[in-house]
Amino acid sequence: MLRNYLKIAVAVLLRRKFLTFVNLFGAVLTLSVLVVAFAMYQSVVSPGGAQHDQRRILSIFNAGIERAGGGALVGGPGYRLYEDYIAPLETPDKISFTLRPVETVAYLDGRKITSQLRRTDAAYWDLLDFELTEGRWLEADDVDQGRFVAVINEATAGTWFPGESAVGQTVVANNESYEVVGVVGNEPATSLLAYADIWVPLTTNQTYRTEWISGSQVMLYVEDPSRRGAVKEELQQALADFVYTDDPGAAQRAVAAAWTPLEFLANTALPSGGAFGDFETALARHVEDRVPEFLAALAAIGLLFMSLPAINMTNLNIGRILERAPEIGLRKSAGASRRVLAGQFVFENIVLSALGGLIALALAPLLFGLLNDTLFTYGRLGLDWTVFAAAFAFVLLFGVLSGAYPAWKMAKLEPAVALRGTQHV
Amino acid sequence: MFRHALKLIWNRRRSSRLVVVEIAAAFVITFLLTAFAIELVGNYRRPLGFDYENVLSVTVQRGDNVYSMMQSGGESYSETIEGMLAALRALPRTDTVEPMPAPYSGRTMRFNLLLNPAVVGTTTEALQAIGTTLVAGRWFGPEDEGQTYRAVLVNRTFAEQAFGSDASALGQRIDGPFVDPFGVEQPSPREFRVVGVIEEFRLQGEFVPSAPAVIERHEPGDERGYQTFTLMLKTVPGTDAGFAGQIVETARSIAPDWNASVTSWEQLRASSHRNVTLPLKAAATIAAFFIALVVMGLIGVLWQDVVRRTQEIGLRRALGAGAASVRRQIQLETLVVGAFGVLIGAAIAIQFPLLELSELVDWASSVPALVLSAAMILLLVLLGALYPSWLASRREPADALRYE
Amino acid sequence: MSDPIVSLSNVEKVYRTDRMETVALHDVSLAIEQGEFVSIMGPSGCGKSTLLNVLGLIDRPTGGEVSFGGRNVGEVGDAELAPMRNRELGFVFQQFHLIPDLRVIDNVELPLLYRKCSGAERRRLAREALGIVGLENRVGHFPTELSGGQQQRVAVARAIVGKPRLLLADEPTGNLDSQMSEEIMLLLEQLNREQGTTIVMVTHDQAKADRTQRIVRMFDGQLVH
Repeated sequence: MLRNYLKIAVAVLLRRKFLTFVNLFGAVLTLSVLVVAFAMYQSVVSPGGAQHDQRRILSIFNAGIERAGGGALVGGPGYRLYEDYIAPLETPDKISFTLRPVETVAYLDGRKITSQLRRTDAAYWDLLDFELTEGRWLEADDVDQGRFVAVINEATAGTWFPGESAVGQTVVANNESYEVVGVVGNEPATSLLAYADIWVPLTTNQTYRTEWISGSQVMLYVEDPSRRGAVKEELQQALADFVYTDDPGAAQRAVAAAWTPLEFLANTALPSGGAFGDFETALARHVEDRVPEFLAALAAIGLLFMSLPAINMTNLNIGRILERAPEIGLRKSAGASRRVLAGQFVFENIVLSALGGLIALALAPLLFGLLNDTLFTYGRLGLDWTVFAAAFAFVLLFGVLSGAYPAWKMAKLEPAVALRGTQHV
Repeated sequence: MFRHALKLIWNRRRSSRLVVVEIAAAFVITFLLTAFAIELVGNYRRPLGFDYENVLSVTVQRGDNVYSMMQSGGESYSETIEGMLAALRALPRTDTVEPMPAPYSGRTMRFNLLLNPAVVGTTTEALQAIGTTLVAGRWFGPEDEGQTYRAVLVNRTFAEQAFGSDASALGQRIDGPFVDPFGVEQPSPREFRVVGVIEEFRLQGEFVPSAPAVIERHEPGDERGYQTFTLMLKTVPGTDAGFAGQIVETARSIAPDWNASVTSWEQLRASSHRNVTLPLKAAATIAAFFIALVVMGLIGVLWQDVVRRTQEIGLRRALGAGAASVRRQIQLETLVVGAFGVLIGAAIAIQFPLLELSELVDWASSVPALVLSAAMILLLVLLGALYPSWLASRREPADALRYE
Repeated sequence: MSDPIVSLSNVEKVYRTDRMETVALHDVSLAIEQGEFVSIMGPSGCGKSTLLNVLGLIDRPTGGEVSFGGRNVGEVGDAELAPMRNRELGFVFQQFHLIPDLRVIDNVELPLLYRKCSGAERRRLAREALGIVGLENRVGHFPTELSGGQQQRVAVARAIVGKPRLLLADEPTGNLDSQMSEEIMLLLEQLNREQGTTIVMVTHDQAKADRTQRIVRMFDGQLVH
């Protein structure tokens, strides 16, 4: 019985090759875009890899210091701020200070190589979970001594020392030489904390020590994820007592926010109401929870954009049914029941959706491979089965519903009316 | 013929509803994507206000002891800076060296100035070396020395937003009272007076929309209270990367216990761009998918609609209509329906700039986006009807009449 | 002796699908003289409708020659063929082929749209034609609101509105009751007699066929003598 339905469905679909193609294309595209969009979202919010212990890490990416005369300096949390107000925090179990990756240049056999260089402390390696393929991570001793040693990623090792062991060799960045002590797996650019090509100790360049605001990041780690709220509170309390010790005469305030990647995304993606606004607003913005607003905005955009394939599917279904009006009339007058008639049409929709799903599944590795290689450095975008299943269920369900309704209405018509053909359902 | 087509469209309105909705939805999505792209490209192509090539950012800082700074007082700090500047100027590869923070990094903002702008403190020589253009008034000059006011230059965006035009900004005072951390309103500590207007100065780079920017005249003693001091150093063209080492050595020779580090503005720019290009690439990927959906969806639906009219096309031909005439009629009808969908879509789209739903979609980008999207959708609609109508009109009338 | 209005010479019509070939017409030679009233008869599937289509210039044969007014139609391009169909021919289809989204009056007007005719003139002629078939009080209706018989009469009105020289009718009384049937036959006879309209009619009703001047019989795609 099922095989019979299937044979008929395939025959019918093959009769109108172009339209079948359009239906399939739409289904494949819809599935793909949902899967890819989600993968991109995941890659920032939950990057995995070295940063996989998501729930336990809060990061401070943004900080600001208000100065006398109505000025402010904004940027990342500088070492002075970290040293005096963040490092002493008691709630976090581990704290790390790192500079953001900067682009460095080197020349290898006349070729220009750009690498992202990140300066870290020792706690960085304890907090994040890098995959070590050779040698060792940076250690407290390296940082204390200010040694010019480096950990590099596999891509960099492959560029500098193809086919050899990298440990013990020298890499150069911006005219400075470092001895390689370890090699780790590549981390994607979307991993805000882990991404870099070369990691060196903080102390190899002392400029950071005197800055209150700089291109830096602070990580706060708690064993118990439920303590995240307590961390945020303690941070705000500590900053409430802020004194700008370089020039304590002018009373000033500091603001910094400890965020999960999702909170960071929410705060940076949502418009902040013009240029910084005033310091009060900035302060408030840094601590309020904008995640619900962000997710709501995402949902709204998602619905808006998803309406297009939904409407399109409906249109194509109605069109297909209208075309078949005479055939339906004929079969009905030959004794076919409404259920059989509508059912067969719905079955075709199921076949289309299923086929679309299979094609999308087959294409997914190619698609992700392409994205990871070309657009996103060291990308790890991949298929999430739950998301695929949900997207597939959406396409299937919607396809069936948008087909069932017109099919049922068509099957209700008097055979004679249907035979004559009609332009409306 | 036109009236006949309109009659058909009117009578068919009930079954055309969904197609019109799809065209409208396609239009809105195309509009949003186009507006965003226009905004981005517009931002990118607007002048930066400075050249970043061959400029190095030199950061010098006193020894890492806070108290030594306080004890040594301000004088020797300024002297050391002066000494360093002189030594660096003497280097053969140096074109210009002046106090100036690097763009693309942490910002200084002033909230007691109108429009809460980002502020950079530097000298006329520095600005001229990096190619900033003056459009009204004058550069900082000796007449600003020792005055009660501090001279500033503002960019066009600032001048227009705060005073309406470039010329109106000249001579204006842009500071005002502010609220201190204790919640008490304080008068402005010093007058900031506009002496000139520059074309543009986009500290944050090419992808961010133009924002009000202020350049304040650097005064000796500005560096007091900060341990780090940043200079811009424009090199003679053709200088290689090794020069950085020479700079660091020179700085150390003047003040051995100080630290110095050198980065190029180009590298800073590249690093800053990375933050923007990543989400942009993601958005562009998704956008590409949706454009494909729009195109295939519309073509598919229109194809279907035209094919369903094969019998009608055959009939008209049997009654003596030329093939071209029938095709034109079908295409005209499709275009009218398309125009209707575009109008409805435009009514929705225009809510974005009207209600200011998004920063990214303002009037400047909306108007061209509306026009472009309308053209694209109508073209798509026409194309969607073109081929199937040609196919159907090529059949023998009896063949088309038989079509099912 | 003037040319026959339409003549077929050794006409073949073969339908080819991916899987099979059907011969609908084989070696058909036939001449219809001006002013004739001809009926075509035969069992279903014998090619009657195909023959009518070829005679009516809306289907090209796969072999042989078709002449209209002495001219070989095979050499005429679409640009010339279209006005020929419009001015000279009127067709009543078995399935009516009325446009469901147009009102009755607009359906009947349709052929006149493709010739130089003012809107007012079109209206007048259409009303006239509808009056002749007795549907003057249904002008504003849509075809779906009419019975089968009424739709058939609209189809007839459309076929005669342009005063064609040759009228082709495929089972024009098939859906009509005996009274209406009779009225249509009388109309056709009147057109033939008074206007000199050449009429070729497909029918399976022997009584109707007997009222025409000539009966052409077909079987399996060939003329039967």
